[in-house]
Amino acid sequence: MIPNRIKYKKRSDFFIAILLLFPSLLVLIPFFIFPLFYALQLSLWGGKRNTGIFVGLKNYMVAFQSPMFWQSLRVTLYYAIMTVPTTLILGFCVAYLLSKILRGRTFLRILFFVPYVTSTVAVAMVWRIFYNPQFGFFNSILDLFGFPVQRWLLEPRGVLNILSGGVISPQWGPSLALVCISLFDIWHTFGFAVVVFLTAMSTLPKEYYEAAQIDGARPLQVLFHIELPLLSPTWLFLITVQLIRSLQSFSSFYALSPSSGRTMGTTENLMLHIYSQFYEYGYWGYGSAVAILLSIFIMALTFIQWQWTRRYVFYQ
Amino acid sequence: MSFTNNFQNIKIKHLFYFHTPFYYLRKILIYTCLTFLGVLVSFPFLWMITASFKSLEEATSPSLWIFPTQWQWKNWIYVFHSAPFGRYFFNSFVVAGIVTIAVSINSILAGYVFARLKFQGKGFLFALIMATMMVPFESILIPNFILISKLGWYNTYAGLIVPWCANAFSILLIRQAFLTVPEDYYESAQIDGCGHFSFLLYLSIPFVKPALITGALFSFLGSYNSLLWPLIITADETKRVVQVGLTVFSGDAGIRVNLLMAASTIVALPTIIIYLIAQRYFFQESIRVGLKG
Amino acid sequence: MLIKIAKGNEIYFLTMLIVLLCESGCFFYNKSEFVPINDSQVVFWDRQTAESAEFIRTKADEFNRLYPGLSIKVERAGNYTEIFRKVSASIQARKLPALAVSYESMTSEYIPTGAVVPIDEYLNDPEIGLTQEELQDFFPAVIEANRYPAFDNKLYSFPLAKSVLVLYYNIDVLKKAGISTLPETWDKFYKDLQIVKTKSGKKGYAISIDCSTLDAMIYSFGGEIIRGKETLFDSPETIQVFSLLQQLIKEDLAYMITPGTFDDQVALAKGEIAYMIRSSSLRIGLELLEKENPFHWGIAPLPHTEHITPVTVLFGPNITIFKTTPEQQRRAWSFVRFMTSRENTIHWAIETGYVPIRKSPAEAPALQKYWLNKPYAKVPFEYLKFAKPEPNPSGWQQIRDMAESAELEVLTLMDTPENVCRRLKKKADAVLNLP
Repeated sequence: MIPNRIKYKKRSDFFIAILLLFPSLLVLIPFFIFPLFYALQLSLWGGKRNTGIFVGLKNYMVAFQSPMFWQSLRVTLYYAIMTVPTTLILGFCVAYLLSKILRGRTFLRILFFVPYVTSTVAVAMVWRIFYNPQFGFFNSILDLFGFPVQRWLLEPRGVLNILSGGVISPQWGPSLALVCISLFDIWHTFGFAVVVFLTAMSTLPKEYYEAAQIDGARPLQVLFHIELPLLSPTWLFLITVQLIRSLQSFSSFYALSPSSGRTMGTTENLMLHIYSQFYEYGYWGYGSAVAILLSIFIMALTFIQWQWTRRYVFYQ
Repeated sequence: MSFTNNFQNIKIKHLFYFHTPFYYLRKILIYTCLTFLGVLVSFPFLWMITASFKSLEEATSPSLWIFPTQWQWKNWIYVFHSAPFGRYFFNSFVVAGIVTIAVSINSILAGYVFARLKFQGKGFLFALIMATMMVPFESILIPNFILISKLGWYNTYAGLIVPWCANAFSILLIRQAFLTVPEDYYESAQIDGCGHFSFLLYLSIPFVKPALITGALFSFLGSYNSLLWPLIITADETKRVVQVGLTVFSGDAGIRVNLLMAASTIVALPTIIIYLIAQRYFFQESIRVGLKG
Repeated sequence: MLIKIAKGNEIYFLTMLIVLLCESGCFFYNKSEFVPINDSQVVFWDRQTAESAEFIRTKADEFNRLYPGLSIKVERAGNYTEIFRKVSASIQARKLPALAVSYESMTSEYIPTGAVVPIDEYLNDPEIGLTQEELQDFFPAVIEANRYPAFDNKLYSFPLAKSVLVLYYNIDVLKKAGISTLPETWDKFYKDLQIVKTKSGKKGYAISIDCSTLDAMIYSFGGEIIRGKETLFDSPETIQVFSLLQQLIKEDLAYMITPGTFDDQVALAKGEIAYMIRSSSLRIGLELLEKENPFHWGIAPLPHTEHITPVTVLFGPNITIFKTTPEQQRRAWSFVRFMTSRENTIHWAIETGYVPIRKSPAEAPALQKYWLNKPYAKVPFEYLKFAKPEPNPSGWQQIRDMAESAELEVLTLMDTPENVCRRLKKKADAVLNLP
């Protein structure tokens, strides 16, 4: 037995690894990594639509000096801060409650998952009707309780400004329009978190629960001392994925951010900034430079987040 | 085996042990919470379905009452006649089906590599693959389009399928699942002379089945709901997928909200059915892991 | 965990990546000839849906039947934004459709890449050109809109179907408020809204934030938008337009709708508002709503200030012909000529919400009969002679977005029109003067 084991430890699995990774790399290298280098190349050129001259790092300088770039970076961060924790905590709570019931759970699971399966275009249309600045659904609710009606997606003022009755400067914090988009996104994607948590919960080893029961632990104690630590790899996975998703969220913004001026730029995140600069206005060099900056930013943030959360992750 | 016995014991204990008033109170509380939240969450979806039966005027003016005053069945008839949905569904299922199978196979292989194998350059390769998740899709659209047209794959199934046959997200999902399988398990299998492939096929897959089915479901949904790429890469009706078909109702003449809602409901139905089938597998009863050994 | 490059063996990966980097440059940075996306068919990327799409398809079949040769194939390529994106990518891939629908602002972005064929050479072609007489039959503004002053004033696109910006009104609402004449001036328009407000408490006008509407309003105040390499967004006329809009919001006489929706049409049909200013092609939507729930409505020219002749802006798709092969280009032009023939402009006007782009169809019995049934459909046609093209320099799309952003700033009362206009001009001029 023992010699076998030593042999295994010594052997490098390099060739078998490359063999197993080959099909994935065959897709990922030409369609994802190669284009990244193409973008890197493009970002060094000026002009419109690949017709300009070599400008070196000028596009990056332009980005750092552009107030639009900084505003869209702020929007991206506000959005991540608003959506990621809410989605995950809400998703976990619903999944936790769903895992504690038996009767009717199939039906309830469908209710929570239904937003995620519908395409963004269609449900965004529904929400746009709800957010109607004049006769919308949300305005009827506000009206019912005697609050002043709002312009929702057309409101560039900060949500803090509105809540504080004008005490806080309107430029401060996310705009009401951005909050509206965040709300839509939380609604649209939290079913994803519910399913991932539920799956993970169903695979937790029963031994732990049995042991806890024998010790007479209460449900909340089980939650904090057994379930949460055991689910930490799932949390790590979800935090990573949701953070990346929220930083490069596009379809919710594209569907809901008003095309005319993006609510004065307060609903233009970096992805939308890249989109309009690259595709609509044709600044391929500048658009690629911002795309590269966004990629670097996401990688750095993921790296930090990974290093930080890794300490709390528990593998069996 | 003693497992089953033990399990039954727990169940019986369960039945008697918890049936106190407090237990019922807790159940009622959970059900109330979930029902309330569930109705709230599915409301826009229900609204979408009922709006598809409304007249145009009613569909664009939401009231708290979601049911139409007069059910307009003709919306649905119109939608079915205005686009070749049969063809669209066929294309969508072919594309999403092949993508799902390919992604599942690729991510099992890659996930296993990153979870269990030891070799030089592993960290680098993993970082490289994770990096593909962090590249904004918008910025790789044009090079991919150029590549596809150079390969002669414009307006073909290959162009629709191949670029999506592997993704970092699924690889990460499966890797995390493999990591939850105890180390001892691998080593003892290795010692018993089990090769990588037979280990993967017969021993690992049952362990990660829930994660695998979740991953497959998300791949399917991702592929089925994608719009931008199919729109760019296809030219005619024979290769169009359902999401592209939907744009007919949401285009510049976007006034016909009720028709869009009917079409969206039709398009969403298969995904709900697929979710229903999939969920029976991924919320399976827990596997008992021989931790003591 | 993520990056451990420093290890020995990984130098291989690094070299591989550097090779990739160089490869990517050689691979994508090509300037080869443009080739057609389909060798055996003339591909036409269109955006029409429903009835209009059916119409174009029937016409293409008819063309293929009547004039044998390479067949025209109509493909629905999405909406304008999506077509723009597809064409941009195709230009880069050097594989192009023979022709595609476009707005002027889109064509002016395609021209610098060298992918667009100027139509002037085909106009004078003895075989497939247009006679002087035929050319005179088109409304001058319609052709003029497709000349690009920034690019040697060449005809880089050709009008396909046109509509103009008009004022829609709900007769029932106006009657209830006791208003019997239509607003010819902006003053009257403003007063009408005040009357509607006092009589019914309703906001009489739904503002759809849109740069073309702004342009038309500036024209109707007697202003201009662009002069050489300078925009005139700080002109007194522009400030007047913005002040009027802000005043309407301040006095609760108007409200904004979410851009990209058609909420104002529904509001007009329900009698919530009295006026909306929109493209004349939207009348199809109102006809749909009228069928569901009858109401009385009409179309009128835009209001203007006194001493100024009525004026409006042109909307609607043009066709751009791309560099493919000489045969495909000629065939594409023949199809455009066929689509804009006298006969077909009449069909086009009856089947869809667009306006004939020629003068002679007015005498055609079919069209006269149609107008007799729908008198409002004639108004945009008569108004076409007052239409003015919008500016179309390179970068105009960006300026449009800036102007719309400025409009929202004014309408949400964030700042005064004067300040907003000053900032808008500065930003827009910077775009126009890019190297």
